[in-house]
Amino acid sequence: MSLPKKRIILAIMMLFIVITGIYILSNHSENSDFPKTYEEVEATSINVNFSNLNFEKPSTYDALIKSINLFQPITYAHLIDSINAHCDSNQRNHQILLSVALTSSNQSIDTSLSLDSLFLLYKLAFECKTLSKALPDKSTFYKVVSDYWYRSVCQQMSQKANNNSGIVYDQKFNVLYQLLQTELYTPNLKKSNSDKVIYNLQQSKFGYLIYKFKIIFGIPGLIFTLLIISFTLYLYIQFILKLIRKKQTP
Amino acid sequence: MKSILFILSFLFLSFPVVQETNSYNKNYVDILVDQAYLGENFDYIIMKRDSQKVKAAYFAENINSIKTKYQEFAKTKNIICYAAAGYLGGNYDVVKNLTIVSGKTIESNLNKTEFDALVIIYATGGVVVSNLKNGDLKLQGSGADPNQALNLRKNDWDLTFFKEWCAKEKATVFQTHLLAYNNNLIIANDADEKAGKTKSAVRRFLVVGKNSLGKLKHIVINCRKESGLRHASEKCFNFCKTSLGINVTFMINLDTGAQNVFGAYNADGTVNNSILKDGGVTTLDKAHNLLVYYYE
Repeated sequence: MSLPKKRIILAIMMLFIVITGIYILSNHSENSDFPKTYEEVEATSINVNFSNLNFEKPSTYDALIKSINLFQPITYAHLIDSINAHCDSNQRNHQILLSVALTSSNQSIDTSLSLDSLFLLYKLAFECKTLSKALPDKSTFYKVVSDYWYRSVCQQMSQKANNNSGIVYDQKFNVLYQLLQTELYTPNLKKSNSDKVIYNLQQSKFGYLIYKFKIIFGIPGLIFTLLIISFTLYLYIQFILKLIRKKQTP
Repeated sequence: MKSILFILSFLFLSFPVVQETNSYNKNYVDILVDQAYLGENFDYIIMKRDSQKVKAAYFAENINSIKTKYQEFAKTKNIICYAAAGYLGGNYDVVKNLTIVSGKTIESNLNKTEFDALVIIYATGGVVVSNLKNGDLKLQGSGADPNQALNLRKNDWDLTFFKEWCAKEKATVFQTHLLAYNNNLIIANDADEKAGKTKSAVRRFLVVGKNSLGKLKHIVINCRKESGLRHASEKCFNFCKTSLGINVTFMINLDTGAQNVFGAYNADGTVNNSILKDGGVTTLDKAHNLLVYYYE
């Protein structure tokens, strides 16, 4: 096959991959439960008969949240407004009870959620955080829900890392970890003892390593650490000598 | 006229020098080194807080070390001692558990199962600890009802309200292990067995309580001998109660793991080098949080 033909085929293949990628991504967002436009959400009506409801009872709120799409956080505000319109006393209490219903109903959330699902929950938390700034009269309410989801995602990530330490090298996991860290929620990833040894070697904290090995294993530990350090240094020296010799050879 | 000008210029020039000199009134601080107690050896700094001359401050920062911030602070304050306090996560470069500094959130995650001490450091230099297990935190100011107890672990609304309160009040908060509370040692009896041998280390604690005269004392105590958290805290707690006569309000752990950062100064401003520096002591540039006691 001639070179131009190969290039044309390669270009077509690249184009195909790019188009497929775009299609998958756009299709993914189409399928998500998140609203596309504000108007679309506005159009979402809450089909509930609010009369005869007891707004002092927590169970009322458990029933009410079934009428809204949990992945459209703006609908929470509409629900609050509807409740307030029917019962204007103790409005703060309505928000507290609704926040409890929204968070406690998810207490038994599936612990084996995929990273894609955790991304969606992260997005939900982020949207709630944005709404907490946009709607001052419901600010605390949205902060509560946002905080709950951020913490839940963190918790799930910590559990995933505990169950499978290899997941910390997964790109998606790392992106989500960074996003959460930006939002000031850092998942707690426990370090194994071997991770700690590698970290301290990288940081050249040899003194600390000798100290810890001595505490844990006594004198044999101390000798073992000294041997490891000597061997590491020996390898470094050999490497440098090899480089020097290579440079000197004409 | 010339002499007045001379005196004025002398005062003007000497002012920054006077400000930057680190010294404190030795009547407010006692530093004791290598004190033997039932097979242990303690170094401890007792600070008298009842006069409000001795104050605490807390610094925390992710990714970057707090060294620069501390050095800026130390330029205008008379430092007594400093120690890393809260725990680190990530690659030992981010703070772990809820941390808020002067109202600014550094880490939002409140640990709901471990680390029962919620430490609040007031702008006035006071330190209080709430036992998160009790769920009885009471706040004042910025719309808080002083009679309402907040349960930060069980009530998400309370937690958010508390964070909002911290932002308004410019409060400083961090979360760590609570070892003793209301004159009782509360760390689990089997804590050392569960942690294993790798958790044996030198230990450092902050003990706050009153003596028999009702005078408030803050004590930073180093345990020289490597041991588990339960073992060391029990010894320190008994030492403070029996030898120092302190009615312990609370005792919290100060981190000696990833960032075993500690320093102390004598009353004349010289560095106190007599407190043991074990193999694990790290430099200030590795610290991402720091509890500082100073004299003002």
